[in-house]
Amino acid sequence: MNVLNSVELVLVTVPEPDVAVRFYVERLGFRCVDSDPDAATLQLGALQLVLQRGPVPDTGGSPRIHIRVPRATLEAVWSEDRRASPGVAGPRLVAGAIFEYETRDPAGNLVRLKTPVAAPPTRER
Amino acid sequence: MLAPILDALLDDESLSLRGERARVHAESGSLDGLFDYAIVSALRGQHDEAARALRRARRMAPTHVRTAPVSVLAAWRAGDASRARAALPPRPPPELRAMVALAELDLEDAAVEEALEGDGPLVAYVMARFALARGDASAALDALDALTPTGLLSCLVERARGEARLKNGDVTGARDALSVAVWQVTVLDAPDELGRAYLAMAEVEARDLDAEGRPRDRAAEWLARAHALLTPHGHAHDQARLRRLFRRFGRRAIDRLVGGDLESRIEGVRTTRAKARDRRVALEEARERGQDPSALERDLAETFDELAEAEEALVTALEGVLVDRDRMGRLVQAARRLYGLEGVAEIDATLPRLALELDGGAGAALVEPRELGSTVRATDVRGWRIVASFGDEQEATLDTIATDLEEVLRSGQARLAGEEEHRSAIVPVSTAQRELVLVVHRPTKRTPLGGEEVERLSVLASVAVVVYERARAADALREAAERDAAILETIRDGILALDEHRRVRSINRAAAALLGASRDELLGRVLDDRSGLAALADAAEREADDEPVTLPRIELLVRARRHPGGTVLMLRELASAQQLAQRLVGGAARFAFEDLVGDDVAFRRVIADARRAASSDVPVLITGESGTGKELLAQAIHHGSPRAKEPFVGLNVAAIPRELLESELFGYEAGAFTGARARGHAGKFELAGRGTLLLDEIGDMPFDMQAKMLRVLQERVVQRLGGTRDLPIRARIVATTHRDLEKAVDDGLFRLDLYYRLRVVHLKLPPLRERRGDIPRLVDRHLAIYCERSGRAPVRVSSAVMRELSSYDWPGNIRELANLVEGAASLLPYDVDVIEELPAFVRTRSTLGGAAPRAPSSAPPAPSFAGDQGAVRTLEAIERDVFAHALSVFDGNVAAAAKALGVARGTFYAKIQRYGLR
Repeated sequence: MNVLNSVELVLVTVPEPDVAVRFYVERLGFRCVDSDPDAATLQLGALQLVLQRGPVPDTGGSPRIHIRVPRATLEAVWSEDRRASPGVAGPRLVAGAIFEYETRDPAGNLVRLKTPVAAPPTRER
Repeated sequence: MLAPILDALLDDESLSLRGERARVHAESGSLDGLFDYAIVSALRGQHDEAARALRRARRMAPTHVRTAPVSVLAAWRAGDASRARAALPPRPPPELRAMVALAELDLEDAAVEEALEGDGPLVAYVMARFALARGDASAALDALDALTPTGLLSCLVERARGEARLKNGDVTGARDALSVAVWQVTVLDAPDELGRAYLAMAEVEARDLDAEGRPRDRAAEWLARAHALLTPHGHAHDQARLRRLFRRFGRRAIDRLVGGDLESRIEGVRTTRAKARDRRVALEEARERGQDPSALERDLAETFDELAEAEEALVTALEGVLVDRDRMGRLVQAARRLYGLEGVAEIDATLPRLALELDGGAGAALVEPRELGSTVRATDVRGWRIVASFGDEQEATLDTIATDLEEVLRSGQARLAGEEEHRSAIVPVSTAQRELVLVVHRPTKRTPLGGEEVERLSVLASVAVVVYERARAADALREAAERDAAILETIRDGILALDEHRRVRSINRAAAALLGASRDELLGRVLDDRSGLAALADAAEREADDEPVTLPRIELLVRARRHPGGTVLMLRELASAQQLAQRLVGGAARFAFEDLVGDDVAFRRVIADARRAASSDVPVLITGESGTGKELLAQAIHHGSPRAKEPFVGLNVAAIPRELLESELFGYEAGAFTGARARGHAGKFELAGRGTLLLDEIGDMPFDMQAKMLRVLQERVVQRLGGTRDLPIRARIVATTHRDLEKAVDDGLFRLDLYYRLRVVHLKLPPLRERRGDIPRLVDRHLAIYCERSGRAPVRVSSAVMRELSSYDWPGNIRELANLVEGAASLLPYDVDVIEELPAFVRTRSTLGGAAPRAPSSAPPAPSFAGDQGAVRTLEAIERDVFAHALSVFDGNVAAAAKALGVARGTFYAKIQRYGLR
């Protein structure tokens, strides 16, 4: 049995999978590997995200989806959110020197994007 | 010329990219490129690079208009306020004054504020910082909110915003602002500014206390990150701020992280991973079975969150380890500095400072119990004496903890003393020689000294004990070495100490001079490796015992003594050793031909023959009655010969017991016979070296010894008794005797072959009675010698007395004459300078006194007990006459004279010496 190093498959229920697919592909950089009217399978690195038609689950305000994304992706999402809502809070620095930024997919699922603070450059080039 | 700086400050592009471009531009020789590179380097915290670029720019254009602004910028970013102010040009623009103000705001307890005109973003930012510095956070926030900066200035603004919000108690707002600051600074790639943002973050997290009122672990994490960046990139004020934060809260959080927590966090990650694995398998299996996976998916998502948290916790713990490593690093650094100290006084003076730097505090002192009866000094506190201190309030602190000090000294256990608001850590530092106690005190309730500090100080104290012991041992060794060196240098002989590999470990100047090298040239060298010293190495190996060793430029007398660690060699120049030997045996050649006075024809002929003989190396036999000056002539021959600077060694054959004669002449090896000296003994032939060996009274040499002597003279080598080595004879032989050797040969008492070998040149000195014409000169000369020796005015004899002396037979010859005139002069009152009459015994022996002339060997008149006209004579004078008389009666034969007087022969020799009878 292979040792699990990371979670590679996440299933999210959304009322309209095709709308959600656009968000995850265009905004977060996923690639669509399979789709049908009720479900789509997206891939980002090793992570597979399955968007399945269904009601949005109630998570009690906590994000259910945590995705590690490149810094540029996070910045682009934040930038888009700012356009829509100028006062939106930026990425927050948390323990482990990781930026976290929360956004919502078109279905209203709370998605937490994470990106590490870039490693400090060396003193001499 | 300020525009490029402000543009650089507001540019959002990565500083590293800009820096790379500027560097290429600068390397192409562009002055603008150099200035740009200096600007970007300064903004990135690369202060050395900035300074280098500025120096190059100054060399290219010493008075360029860009120099001053860039210098001010570089100094501000390097945290050097005074340099920034010094670099200001005349009538500086407000932006440059703003930079100076920012550098000064970094100073401890800065209260700098000045009116700045202008409305640029940099000036506005400085005004906000002024507000923050005076504690008006709201005003600061208002000023900052009015700004919409970009680039690095935006990072500075966000950091200031975070600090202002924190001051207002808005922890969340502070976190948000600092998050933005970090976000922006990571875009710009400015590590020093990132470190400062982390440091501010640490201060924010330190406000967030746990249930026990302690800062949460996150504070330590940010502190560790700040430390990692600011140690290489920050300036002095950053370091000070880091230290301050470490003192405030860092250690507590770190201790909690490191003390066992790390393991549990690693375990947490492992467990959560395993849990996630199991849930994934369960989810896959449920799907395969067609069951509803939603519950399992939720579980898996939760596990994913747990895993992320566990990993974050582990990272935080690892950061704590890094911080702890830094703390350990400081302890190691302090220990290293201690190890680098050498003298006890130096350690005394440094230890309190190192202790204080280790964990901070108000002051540290090294104290020792004051000795009973010692003078009380002003700094003594209740029986304790401050050996060294650093910081403040030593006396007051010691006064309050004197009892604890005694307890620490008694128990040898470190402890904490005092209330929390002013606690002291007390650690014993006692060595075998001294009882010392180290005290560190910290008057603050917020971070009182604790067990960890005591523990670290104890480690430092343990190192100090070792270093003290080492220093004391080194001092002792140094003293011993200096003492030994001083002793070695007082020794005239050369001393050379070799280790077991024959490496020179110690050498005095005398030895170096003898070997013709400097001490430095020889120290540490293997003796055999040094050209020309192999013979010396051999002498060391065979443990030479006063053996002559010939080196290319000198002949040495070498004595080697082996010891467990090597060999010590004692070196003397052979010639000087021989001269010393001759002084000890009393055979120095003091007389020259000029000292031999006389105009008698026969005497002058002998002297002329002797002068000729002196220039050759042939053996000389001098015969004549006792007292005719045979030994003097032998000395004169030596003195007049090419060997004059070499030793003159004499041996009175008649005076040496027969059984000792051989060993005296030839020497002996250690253990050659019972009673021999343990180290052996050099014979007279060896001692004479290349000089002259006088064999006095050769006619009295035992017959069997004559054969050995003959062989030695023929073969020109000698072997010590018990020895096997042939020692070459280089000395010239001069023999004397009062005997008629031809008659002795005829009588079978002296070997004919030896006689011929000795008598290559035969000089026969006439008796004094045969050269009466010389008597007045001899009298005058010996009187003059006496007067000079005794320090009295010149004395002469009356013509009557001279006549009397001239008519005397002088059986004892010149020696008797010398003794007589000396005796007469010594009896003369100090205010009289003419000897008008002779002592009675002389008169009785002189022909004027009526005594008949006698043969040399006939018995002289007995000495008188009474002086002139019946005066009482001293016992000493009478004794002298008695011994002179006996010597005269037995014709110089000491053995017979001693036997006749009933005294030991040694006693007789002592009297001869004392009264100068020969």
